[in-house]
Amino acid sequence: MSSKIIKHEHDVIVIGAGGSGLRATMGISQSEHSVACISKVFPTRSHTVAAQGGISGALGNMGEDDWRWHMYDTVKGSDWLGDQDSIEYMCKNAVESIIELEHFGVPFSRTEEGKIYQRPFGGMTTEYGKGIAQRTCAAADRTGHAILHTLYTQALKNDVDFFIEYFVIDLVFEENKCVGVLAWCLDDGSIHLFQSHIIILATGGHGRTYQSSTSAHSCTGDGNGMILRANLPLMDMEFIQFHPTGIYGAGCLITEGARGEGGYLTNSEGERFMPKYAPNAKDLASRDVVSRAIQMEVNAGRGVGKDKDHALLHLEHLESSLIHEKLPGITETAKIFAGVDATKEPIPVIPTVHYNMGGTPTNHNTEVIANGDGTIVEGLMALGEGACVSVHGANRLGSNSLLDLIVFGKSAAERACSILDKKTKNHIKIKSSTVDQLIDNFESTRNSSGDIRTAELRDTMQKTMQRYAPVYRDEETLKKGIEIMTGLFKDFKNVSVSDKSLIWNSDLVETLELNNLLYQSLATLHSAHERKESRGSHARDDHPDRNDNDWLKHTLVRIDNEGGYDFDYKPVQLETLTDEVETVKLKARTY
Amino acid sequence: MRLSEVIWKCRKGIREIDILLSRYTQEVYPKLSEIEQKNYVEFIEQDTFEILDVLINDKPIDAKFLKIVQALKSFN
Ligand SMILES: Cc1cc2nc3c(=O)[nH]c(=O)nc-3n(C[C@H](O)[C@H](O)[C@H](O)COP(=O)(O)OP(=O)(O)OC[C@H]3O[C@@H](n4cnc5c(N)ncnc54)[C@H](O)[C@@H]3O)c2cc1C
Repeated sequence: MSSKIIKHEHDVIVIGAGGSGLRATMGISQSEHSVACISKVFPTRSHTVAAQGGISGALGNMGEDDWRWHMYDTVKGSDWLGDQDSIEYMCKNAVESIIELEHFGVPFSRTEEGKIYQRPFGGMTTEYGKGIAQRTCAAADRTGHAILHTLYTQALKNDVDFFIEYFVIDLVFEENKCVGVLAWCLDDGSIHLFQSHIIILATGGHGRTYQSSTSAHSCTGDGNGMILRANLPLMDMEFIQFHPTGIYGAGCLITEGARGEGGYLTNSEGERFMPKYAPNAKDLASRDVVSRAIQMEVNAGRGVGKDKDHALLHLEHLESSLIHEKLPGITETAKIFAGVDATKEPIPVIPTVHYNMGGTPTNHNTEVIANGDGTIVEGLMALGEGACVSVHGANRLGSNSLLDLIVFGKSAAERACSILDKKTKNHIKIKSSTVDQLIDNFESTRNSSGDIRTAELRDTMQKTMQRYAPVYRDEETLKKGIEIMTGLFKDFKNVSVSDKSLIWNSDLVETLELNNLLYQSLATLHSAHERKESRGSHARDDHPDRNDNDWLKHTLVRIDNEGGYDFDYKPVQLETLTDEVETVKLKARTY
Repeated sequence: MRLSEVIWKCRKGIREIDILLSRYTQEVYPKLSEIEQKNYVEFIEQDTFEILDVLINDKPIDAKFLKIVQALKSFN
C-alpha cells in the first residue's frame, strides 16, 4: 500500500484546529517557515466553539488586578499540583495575549468607557484570596466561537496549508525523533504521509471516555492515543473535573445559575439532600461538593429512575417567567434532551465530566517529554486540553482553559520557529518499513470482522468509566474497573467494522477513535488507582487527605498494546520561572 | 449526500447539537425524499450557533427550515 501514499513536506505540522492549534498555526504562518494544519472537522466546528464563559487575564479593567494574584489563584485551584514555572508564564503573558486577540478582531464585550468588560468567575480573587476579582473577558456568551472564527480568518490571510476533514491515524518516528504523521482523507479515501521537522499535537480533551460528559462528539483525545501507542507516557490522567448537573443520558449542561435562582436537588425519596452535606451553602455548594453528594445518594440506594443512578433538579416551583428570563434556553434544553417540561416537572441530572486536566506531558515550552526526568522527545510538541503543561494541576479554574490555549499556542509557535532557525532544512529519510507497520495496523482495524459492534464496545467502556472511576473513588471500585477495562481493551481485537470502504467511512473513524478512548480510559483508571491521596478533583474515600510527603508529584503512565502498564513520576515544579514572583507556598486548599 | 458523510457533518462542536443531529440523521435522514435531504444538509451546514439559536434559544427560523426545526425539536 505504501506506493499509493501521497507525501507532503512542511517545516511544521499542527494537528488540530481548535483554539490552541489555530493560535499556533497562525503564529508560525507569520514566519518564513512553512506550516500545515490538519483537522478532522472543519476548524470552526472544533470543540472550542462551545466555550461560552470567557477567558481570564489580569487586565485590571474593572478594578485593581495583578497577574501574581491570578497566579496565586491558579496554584491554589490546582491544589498545588500545577507547575509554578508554567503558571507564572501563563498568568504573566495573559494580558498581552488577550490584547492581541482583540487586535486580531475578537469582539470582546465592553464597559461604558470602551474597555474590555471583565466578569467574576469561581476561584478568581484579588490580593491573594481577599477580594473577588473581575478577571474574565467574554465576547457575549460565545467567546470560543469568536476566538475560533477570528483565528481561522487570520490564518487564512497567511500562507497556511489546511487539510480539513483529514483524520490523523498515528505519529511517525524515525531514530527516536518524531518526523511526521500518517493521515487519511475522509472525502476521497486517500492515505497521506506528512513529513515535518516539528509536529504540534493540539487534538483536545478526551471527555468521551465517560458516559456522561459535556464534550462534543469529536472529543476523543486522539493525540493522547497516538502518544500511548508510541510508548510515551500521559501525565496526571486521574484528574477529571465533574460538573454536578449534566442532563441524565445526554450530558448537556444545566448551568449553576439554575441552583443560583432557587433550584434544588432531591433523591428517590423526595428528600432535599444537599442540606445534609452542606448545611450552609446547601444546593449552592461548590461543584465537587454537589457532585459528591449526588454520588453518595446513589451509592446509598437513593438514586432516581429505573437504574437508581441519578438525582432530580427542581425548578418547577419557580415562576415560569423567572425561568425564561434568568435561565434562557433551559426549558428547551430540558424538553429536547430529558423530555420534561421544567416549569412543571424536575429534570433528571447526574455528575458529568467537564474537563480533563491530564494529557500529554510537556515542559513550559510545550515540548513533549518522555519521562519523569523531563527528557525531550525531539520534534514533538503538544498543547491545549490534550496536553498537560501543567497549569491546571489537580483542578482547573473556569476561564483558565481558553487562556492556556492562547498563551501556549503563541509560545509554541515561537519555540518551533526558534528551533527551526537553528536546523538544516533537510528531512530525514523515513523508512518504508516504518510506514508499512502503521499501515498494517490501520488495515487490520479496517478489516476487523469480529462480533462486537463499535458502538456497543464504546457504550460499555463509557458505562464502566462512569461507574468505576466516578467523582469519589476507592481501592475496590478502581481495581474492579481496571479488570473490566483491561478486558474491554483486549476486546478491541474482536470489533466488527461493517463498512470496508475508505470514503466517508464514519464507522471506521469511530472505531479508530474508540481505540484512542480505550487507551485513555485504561490510563485514567490505572492513574486513579495509583494515586493514594485526595487532591483537587481526585477524591479517594479510602485516602481522604492530601499527602504532600508522598504525592506532591505528577504520575506518568504508559500503556502497552496488551493493556499492560508502568509508572514513572515527575516532581512538581515549585520554583517559579523568574524572580518577579515568589513560589506560592504549600497550604491547605480551603475556600 | 451519502449517509455516512452526513453523519460526519453532524459534528458541530457542541454536544447538544451533535447528539440531536446525529440521532436524527441516523434514524430519519435515509427516509427523507431527495429534496428534503438536500434541504436538511443545507440546514446542518450552517454555523453551529445558528443551529443552536433556532433549536434552543427560540430565535426566529428561516421559513425554508421551519419543518426541519419542528421535526428536530419533537424528535427525542
Ligand atoms: C460546555 C463547555 C464550556 C466551556 N467553557 C469554557 C469557558 O468559558 N472558558 C474556558 O476557558 N474553557 C471552557 N471550556 C473548556 C474549553 O472549551 C476547552 O478546554 C478547549 O476549547 C479545548 O481546546 P483545544 O484547542 O485543546 O481543542 P479542541 O477545540 O477540542 O480542538 C481539537 C482539534 O483537534 C482536531 N483533531 C482531533 N483529533 C484529530 C485527528 N485524529 N486528526 C485530525 N484532527 C484531529 C479536531 O478536528 C479539532 O480541530 C468549556 C468546555 C465545555 C465542554
